[in-house]
Amino acid sequence: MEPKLSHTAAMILQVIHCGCVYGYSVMETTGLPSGTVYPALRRLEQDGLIRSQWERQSVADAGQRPPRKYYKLTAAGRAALEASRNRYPLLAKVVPQ
Amino acid sequence: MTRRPLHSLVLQTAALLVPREHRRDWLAEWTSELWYVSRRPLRFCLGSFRDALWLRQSHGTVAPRLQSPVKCLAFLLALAALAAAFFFRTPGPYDEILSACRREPPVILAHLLFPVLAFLIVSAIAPTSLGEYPRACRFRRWAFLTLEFVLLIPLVFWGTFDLAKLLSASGMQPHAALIGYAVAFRWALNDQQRRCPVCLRRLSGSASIGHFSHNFLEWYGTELFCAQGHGLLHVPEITATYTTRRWLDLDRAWSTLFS
Repeated sequence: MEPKLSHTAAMILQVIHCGCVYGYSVMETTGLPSGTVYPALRRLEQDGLIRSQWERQSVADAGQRPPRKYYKLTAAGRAALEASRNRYPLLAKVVPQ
Repeated sequence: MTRRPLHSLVLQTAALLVPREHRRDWLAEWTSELWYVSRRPLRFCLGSFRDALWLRQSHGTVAPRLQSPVKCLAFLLALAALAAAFFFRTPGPYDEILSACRREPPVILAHLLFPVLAFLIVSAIAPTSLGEYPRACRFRRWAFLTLEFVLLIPLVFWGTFDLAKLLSASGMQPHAALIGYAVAFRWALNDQQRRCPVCLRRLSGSASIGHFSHNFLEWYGTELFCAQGHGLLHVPEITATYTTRRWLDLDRAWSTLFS
């Protein structure tokens, strides 16, 4: 079945797909508040559309910053995003690739 | 980026709402993200409460003492007894209310009206319906809910006087009582909605079904089951006239799954 996403969920998938791979960068790109972005990320992860992974401490130490939790689209997430691009044609313009 | 003790404190407070097994990872992520925030960090941190509440709701667990109906009522009774003991034993609150009632009899009427007002507030802001259940279970459900209310009213009444006494702020009691009744009634209704109508134990095994983005196309919500095997409760994510809480009875054929 073709997955259908809300506009917010589709926008978050789109920005993750475009390389904004941690929570704050998703917030900055979409302009959505933290109270919307983080619960949406958890829901998308629970629905199997994205998966998360902590960055290695050595990489973070090299950048002199705390380790980031990165999000990545799963195969189901990519399919959902593809379907939602047909549903929301302006999505690519809001968040260009 | 500079250290932000106030913002870290906000995050740590919100973390208390997160189920224990997820707390460390959750706090690590928010603390890490806070490092990047340059504009309005407090607003960013306040969003953590919504995230924490969402996690609490979707992975929520109940304290063992509230699982069984008897233990739950005994726990409330113990709390009410503790509040009453403090209220009657310490000089101040009891004498104050007694003399206020003698001076102005409407004072006691105002105290009696607080629970009614609080119930009206709760029914205006949250659904009070218990959902669709078998007719045979109604009496025990209502009896249990009534007992919860009967214990919560004196608990809040005495508890708020005790709190005002402890904080040496007698003026706060009426406000605290109104808020306390509203919170207590909301909790009691929520607790009742999550209990098995047959054995009145708290339901467990909360599982999300469907996708949140499919609200208008198919059923999306949470399914819970009774650990004793009495049935399943379906709680829709959005309550509307056509979608409400539904209880599904399981017959003996399913009992092997719950042995």
